[in-house]
Amino acid sequence: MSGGAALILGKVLLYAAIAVIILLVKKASPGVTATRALSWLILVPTTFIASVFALQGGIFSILVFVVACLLWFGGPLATFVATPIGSPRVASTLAVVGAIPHHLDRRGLGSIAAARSCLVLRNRRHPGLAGALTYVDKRIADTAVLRPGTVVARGFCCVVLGDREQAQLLFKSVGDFAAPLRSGPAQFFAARWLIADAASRGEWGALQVLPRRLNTALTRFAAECATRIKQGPAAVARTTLVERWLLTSSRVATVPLLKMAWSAPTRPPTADASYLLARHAAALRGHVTSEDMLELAMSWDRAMAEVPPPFRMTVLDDLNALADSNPDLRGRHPYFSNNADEVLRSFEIAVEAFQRRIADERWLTPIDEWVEIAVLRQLYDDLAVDASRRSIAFDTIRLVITNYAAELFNRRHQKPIANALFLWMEREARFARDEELLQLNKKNVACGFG
Amino acid sequence: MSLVSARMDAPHIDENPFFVLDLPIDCGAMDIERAGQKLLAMLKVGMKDAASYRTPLGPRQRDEDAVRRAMAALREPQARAMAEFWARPEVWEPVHETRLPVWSDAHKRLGTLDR
Amino acid sequence: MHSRPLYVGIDLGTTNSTAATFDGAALTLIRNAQGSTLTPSVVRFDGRGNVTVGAKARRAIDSDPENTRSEFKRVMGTGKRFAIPATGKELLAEELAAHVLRSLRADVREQLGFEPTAAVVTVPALFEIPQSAATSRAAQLAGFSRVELLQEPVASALAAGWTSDTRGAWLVYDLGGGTFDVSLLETRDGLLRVVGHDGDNFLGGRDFDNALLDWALATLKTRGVLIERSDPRAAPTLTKLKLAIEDARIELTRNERANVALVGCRGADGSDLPIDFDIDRLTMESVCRHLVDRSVAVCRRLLATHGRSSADLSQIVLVGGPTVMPFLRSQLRADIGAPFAPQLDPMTLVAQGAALYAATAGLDARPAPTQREGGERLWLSYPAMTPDLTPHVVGKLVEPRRQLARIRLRRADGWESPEVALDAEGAFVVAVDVLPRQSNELVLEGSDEAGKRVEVAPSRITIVQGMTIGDPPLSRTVGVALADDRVHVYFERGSPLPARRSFRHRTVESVVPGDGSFALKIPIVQGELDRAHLCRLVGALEIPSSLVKRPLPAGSPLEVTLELDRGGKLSARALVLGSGEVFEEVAHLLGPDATPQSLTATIEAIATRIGEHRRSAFRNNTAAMVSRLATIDERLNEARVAAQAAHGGDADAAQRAHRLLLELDAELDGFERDQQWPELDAELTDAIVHTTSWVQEFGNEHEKKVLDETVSAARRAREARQSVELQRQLRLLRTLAFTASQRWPEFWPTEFEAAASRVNEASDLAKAESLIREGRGYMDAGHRERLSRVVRDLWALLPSDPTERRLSYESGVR
Ligand SMILES: Nc1ncnc2c1ncn2[C@@H]1O[C@H](COP(=O)(O)OP(=O)(O)O)[C@@H](O)[C@H]1O
Ligand SMILES: [Mg+2]
Repeated sequence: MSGGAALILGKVLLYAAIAVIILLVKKASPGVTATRALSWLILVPTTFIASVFALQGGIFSILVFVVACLLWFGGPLATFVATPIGSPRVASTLAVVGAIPHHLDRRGLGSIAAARSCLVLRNRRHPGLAGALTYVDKRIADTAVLRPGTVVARGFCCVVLGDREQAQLLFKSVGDFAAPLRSGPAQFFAARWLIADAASRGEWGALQVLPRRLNTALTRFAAECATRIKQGPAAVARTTLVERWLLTSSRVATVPLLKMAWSAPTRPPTADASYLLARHAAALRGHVTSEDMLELAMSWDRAMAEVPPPFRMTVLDDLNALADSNPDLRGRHPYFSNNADEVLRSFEIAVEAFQRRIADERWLTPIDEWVEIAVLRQLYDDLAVDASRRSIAFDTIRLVITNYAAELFNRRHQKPIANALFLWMEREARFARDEELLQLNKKNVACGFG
Repeated sequence: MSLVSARMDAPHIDENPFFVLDLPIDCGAMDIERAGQKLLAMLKVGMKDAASYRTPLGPRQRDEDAVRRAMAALREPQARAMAEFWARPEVWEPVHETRLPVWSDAHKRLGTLDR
Repeated sequence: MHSRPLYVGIDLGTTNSTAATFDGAALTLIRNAQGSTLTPSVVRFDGRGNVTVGAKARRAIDSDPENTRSEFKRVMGTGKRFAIPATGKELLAEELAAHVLRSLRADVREQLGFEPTAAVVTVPALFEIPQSAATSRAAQLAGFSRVELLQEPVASALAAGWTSDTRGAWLVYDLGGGTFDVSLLETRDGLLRVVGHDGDNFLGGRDFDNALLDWALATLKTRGVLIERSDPRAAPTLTKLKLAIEDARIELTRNERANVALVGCRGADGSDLPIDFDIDRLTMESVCRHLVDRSVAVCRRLLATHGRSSADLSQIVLVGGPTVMPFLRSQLRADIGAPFAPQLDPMTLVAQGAALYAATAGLDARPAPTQREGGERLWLSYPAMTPDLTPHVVGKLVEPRRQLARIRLRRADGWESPEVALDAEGAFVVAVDVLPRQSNELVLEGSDEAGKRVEVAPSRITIVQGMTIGDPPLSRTVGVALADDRVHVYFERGSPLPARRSFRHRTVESVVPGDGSFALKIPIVQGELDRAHLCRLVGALEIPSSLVKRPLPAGSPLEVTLELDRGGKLSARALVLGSGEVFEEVAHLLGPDATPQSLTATIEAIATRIGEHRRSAFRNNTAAMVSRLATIDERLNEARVAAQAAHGGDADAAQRAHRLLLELDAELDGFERDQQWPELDAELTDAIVHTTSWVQEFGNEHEKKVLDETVSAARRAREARQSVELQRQLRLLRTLAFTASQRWPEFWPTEFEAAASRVNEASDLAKAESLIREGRGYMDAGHRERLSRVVRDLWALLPSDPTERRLSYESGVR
């Protein structure tokens, strides 16, 4: 073999090795886009050269090599070594170092790794859990500028403490941040947890509406699956399913979901209207689809005159509660929205209290500010299913939120949250055709988040 | 409200006195007294047999409070009528049950570390 | 020491108190040192530190009124303190009641030879949590370590049911010294059920005496003896006269005629007043007839509420001193018609029932045995008293797995249960046969695997068969006041006590650690009305910023648990679901502080409201409304009279006025709800015209569409008479008009001028003034957007209507 050929072969091998490494890293460090992976190309020569010299035994080059490796593999090491071991400090340090080359939200990613280590400790009923949680808590509370990573970390803390609702609230709120901010591990972990949570409980209705808040390839795919599982094969075509599946980055992990949706059975028609109560009972047991529920509500409506008053109340309460646990049903029948006014009042009260707190300058830590916003936003979304309530709700908060966000942006240096709020207000202003506010928020959004 | 109710509650089923006391809907006042007192006594000494009861929506925890509430409810004619309405066996005979599937190992598959 | 359990019941009355015991077979009344079964609820203190209770103390009421206290039960659970000059101390009602209970406890010891450690004490049916809790505390102070409370009518009913065999529906008519209670009950299969209560908190023997006193004053006046009720100098004479009249009234129960003669009374001018007159039964009847009518009306109301008539009643049980008056009995018989339960003592029935209930609750009054029985220890559970002829006895080995393998129960007269084996947990359940209407002693016989006898402890138990009542029902609904002035009900009226429930709430305000003195409040209220501010505040759970470890953002989930025991003790805890922190500090409130000033203010407010409604009712010429207002007005007058007395220091009257005012407030609310239709109609027409004109001129397409939808929704709501829905649509219309009107170039300048003209109302005057200066600048420069911000900031400084949260006891949860 000639020297030239050897050189070419060597080059090819080198590039192949780099490609393999990039692929491996991409696989191991979830949510990293190809463009980011490219940025490591700068790191690669450094690493390579350092490794060659390191083999010759230079102390300095060994040091450079180790540092380069940490920069390379910090994320995967945190995810696959430190987290399963259950050591939050090591995991967060590795994650932070690993995030240096490619991610803005270093502190947040560190907190996620630490919080996930706590989850491991919880699963093992490890006595060190309390100490670990205190550490993560402090880390989260001391975060100067809040970005999605910290939100997800707090979400995992809620999971550890068993507060599933708050965890859902936080994970969903990741979707409110600007797309470049939330991309990467934060969004990846939030989406995966939300999907796993809903799918493992059969709460397909929640999955159907998930992309409205957290819009990623994975959640869109899950939503299509959920629709097909709930409503039968006619609702979503198999080709759509596969298309969506190919677009996700978690293809292997979601094969079972794809299979379930692929072979979703046809729903039998709701012809059996013979026994209203029996159908009601079946609904309570969660054995019916949204369409059956709608049919049930209509049957009750027709039969209501004959139902004795005390039973009427329990029936309505049931239907309301069923609609509450299934966002898919809200607003689709009057019986499903009996408590909408209650929600409106809760919302107004919440806004009033929020406003007073801001006026009194009783500031919370950034993460707790975000939790409060997420609660308001959830209430707002619950109201927004109906256009007229959406107008009232919007009118209640349009200036409250805009001014608050401006304050966060200018005086409190929480640009990422502020940006998320401007985005929200921009969308709502467009809906309400409130030109003045739309222009204002457009300008604000353009101010960025970094 | 969606933020409040994670699990669907249906107190008229979950806490239906006939289910709590494990009695048929045509039982008499003395049956209620006897069954209730027996359960109270069993709960007081901590017998495991008495610690849970079955409802069509699944098993539920039984405590002294629930037993006493159930006894009181069945003494009130109106509350009893309501309880009978929902405890009738024919209500719970299955219509075509189209149970939706669940993806039970989703957490494991998706590596959320949660269980 | 008694070999059988002994149960003690106490009727702690406003006027008289009584104690009784029950040993499973017989009821015994306790007699005091004077040999009487009645001990007047009067306490007297002297300078040497002695305390006298009962008849002797009662005699001192007119000679030493300062140091002699009576009728304190009526202010139980309020903060009122009775000054006792002789001791220099100020005592609460519960501390005075403790003296009465202590004296009864001593009487029990005299008669039975040991100090009872547990007792059932009765309370009026309508006692609320603070009053019940105070009664429990009184019993604790008197040395009872275990106390349960029972409602008086339930106690009377139990006693009546024990003594005579009754079936079907019946009434307990309890007329005491100052209160009247009536209860409708039902017995079926040996189980007693309270169907409902009603009553008049201000009708009793005392009112009979007052009526007779009025008559006497009028009679004396015709004879030239002038005594003015309002003259403070006549007070001693009046007190004496009233006591004499009460004695005469009691005498009239036995005789046709009674004489009242007082010597040594002086008039206002110091002259001797010749007081000497006779009362006969006929006079008394004619003077007091209307009082009995009032009680009959309450009975009828109770029957009607529950869909019964007097024909459905199998009997009436009479309770309380005044019910022994022959004229009252004959009038009742004529008006209601049901027979009286025979041979029941109206004065002691309540205490007897309390003793019976102590058996049902298994509240043995004997002190804990000093020496233990030998043998394997069992933990037993069974109903001490039951209507069931085959109740269950459940047991479990205290230390698991010893020799004991089987157990059998044997009744004293020879009946035996089958032998049952202990299960894996060391527990067993045996059904036993008991003999009806008596105390059954059962012996436990244990054996090991081989059948050899094993001693067990306890080796014998007693089960009484007889009528019982279920758990005592809660008299008024208890719940948590929410921020929007609704009530989240935890325990419905009639729920069995003790009770415990948890619900999830969300906070509406953030609590930041160490944030000054801020505290999130979770008010606990009691009452039947669906608006929190109309219910009575009975306690409040607080989450103070000084105690939270990490910030609690608004919207955090909380699990609130309320627990209510039979003694009226309310405990509450809030679990912060996120952090696991627990808060249990309940600010236990006293009965409301009805200061005379606050009463007068409330009266004025209500009078103004009535006045406004009356004017509009006259204008619209609606006679029905006018007469409905007149009734409300009449009751307001009653409250005025009571408030007047409250100004004179009568705490009892203050309570009465307070309660009346709460009721009136609720009634006016109902009236306003019925009234609002014509108004709402007018408002709707206005709103439609107003909004349409704005939206037509300045609204965008989207708003026009929403307007159309809203108008038709509002019309639908009006057709269907859904006032809440209509109000919501009205609000929407206003929002629409507001949004559209903002596009009017003159809108913000106009609003700015309007707000600026109210600057003196601003909460922060300096800030408001600087805003106005800023606004003027923008107006001149034509900065519309900036001007709008200034106006909104100004609005925030100006007072708005009192918010719902303030009404709702500042609740911090939803
Ligand atoms: N023999 C009697 N005849 C008429 N009234 C009586 C008689 N004995 C007591 N009273 C009246 O009964 C009232 C006290 O009744 P009681 O039931 O003891 O009241 P409470 O339950 O409020 O303690 C007093 O007003 C007293 O005047
Ligand atoms: Mg009495």
